[in-house]
Amino acid sequence: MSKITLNNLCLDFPVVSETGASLRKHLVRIGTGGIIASDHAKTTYVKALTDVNLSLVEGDRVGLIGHNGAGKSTLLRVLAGIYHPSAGTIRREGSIRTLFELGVGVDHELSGRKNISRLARLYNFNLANLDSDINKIEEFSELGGYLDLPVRSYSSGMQLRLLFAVATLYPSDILLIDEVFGVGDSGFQVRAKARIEDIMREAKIVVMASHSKEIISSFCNKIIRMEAGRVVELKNIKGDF
Amino acid sequence: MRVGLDDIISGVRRRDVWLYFAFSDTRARYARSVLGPWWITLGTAIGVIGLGMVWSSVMKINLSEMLPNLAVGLVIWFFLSGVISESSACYVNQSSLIKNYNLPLFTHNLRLISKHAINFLHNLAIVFVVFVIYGWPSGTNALWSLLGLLILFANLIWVSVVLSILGARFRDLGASIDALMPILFFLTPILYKKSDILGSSAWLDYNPIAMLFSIVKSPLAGEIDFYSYIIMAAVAIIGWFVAFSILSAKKQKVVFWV
Repeated sequence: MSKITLNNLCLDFPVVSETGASLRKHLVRIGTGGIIASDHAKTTYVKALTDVNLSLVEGDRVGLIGHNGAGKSTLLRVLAGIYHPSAGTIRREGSIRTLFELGVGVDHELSGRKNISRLARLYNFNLANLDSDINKIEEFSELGGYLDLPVRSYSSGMQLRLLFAVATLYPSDILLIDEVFGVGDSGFQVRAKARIEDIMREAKIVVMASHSKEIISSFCNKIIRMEAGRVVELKNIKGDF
Repeated sequence: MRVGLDDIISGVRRRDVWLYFAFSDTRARYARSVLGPWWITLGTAIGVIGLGMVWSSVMKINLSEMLPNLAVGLVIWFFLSGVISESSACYVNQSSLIKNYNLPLFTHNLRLISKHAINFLHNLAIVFVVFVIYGWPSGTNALWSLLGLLILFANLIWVSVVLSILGARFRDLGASIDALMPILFFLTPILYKKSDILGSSAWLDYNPIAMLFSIVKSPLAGEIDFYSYIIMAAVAIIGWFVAFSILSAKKQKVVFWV
């Protein structure tokens, strides 16, 4: 059983000011008894999420929509367990795969093959199957001989093809996606779309943030609209919305 | 304490990540060079020979006495200072990993420490060569040195955790440590032995870095100070408590700071 339940979840994102990030100024403040602590040494908190209540069950294909800064990416990172809530609770069951920023953990001096080994570890693949995984990735990304060259020699499209192939190799119970469409040239895009559809079909819960109505209406059966850190609308959709 | 303990245990368990990345980083760093990681060894060897020649004539000490002392000293110092000065930027440098993968924070510390341990092992080749030329230390002394190395490790790990968290919060910590490192180099008996000091040696007796350094190096020069071992073992225990508490209190904050 996979499910995600959020209860009155709040997240205050601390933004340390330039002075606040200085150890020297802290010491000066302590040393002078706080008398000259007039500058803005205090940490500012951004209320990134406020009172989010959410219950997602198997079969949910959720499209997260909202303006920039509405809290979509923050919510996805909370669902992934990367951000911890300041208040409220999150309960989650099932394996998780995230498609956030692609390319994190890649070393451009190393070959594509060696970078697959790195990413496989970050994504927690079963390393016993690494060789066959590499073959599958080679096949899907169509990089061929390039896989033995350092990643710095790849074009940006080729890099994306590699990263996409690794990130989407295995399905998971819960799939979290933050705007990663439009990978590579048109031929690859068709296969990328098919691959995404595959792993979305196998995933029990999908949450994806996107600005594209087209993508959301073709992939999702629910939408969550966020505004200023709150969930303002949650509805079922069928096709267009 | 619970959160910190969990992070440390699950961090150690992700050996697939930290050990592999430490090796992979080393490989990447020397990807386009002929000698590869042996550049580390060559660099240290040049340092040992160069400093050895200069300081043996400045201090009027035979090169045969200076070189073994200096080789051992520099190799330990590079390891110790490397971990201390890089730790404050550990989480900041790995910020994109921290923000994108749900990994225990301790994994990043272990990656950094293993990277320096790999360098240290490469540098041991120099110590080996020097011992072959100038004679091996006695078995007992070598064992004391190994014990010192274990205590050094135990201390460096907690120091690394504490500095990484503080360094993520206070961005000028790294610069402060970098400013201190050169003076600490001279306040540590690397170029000389404690027995060479003619005046007061208070700056050594109350200098934890020097003491930490000495429990590994001094036995090889035949000086064993039993109390230093006890003090540094006690510091390690207290330090681990500090590391556990800070990690427990701040683990969930770090992702917002980096």
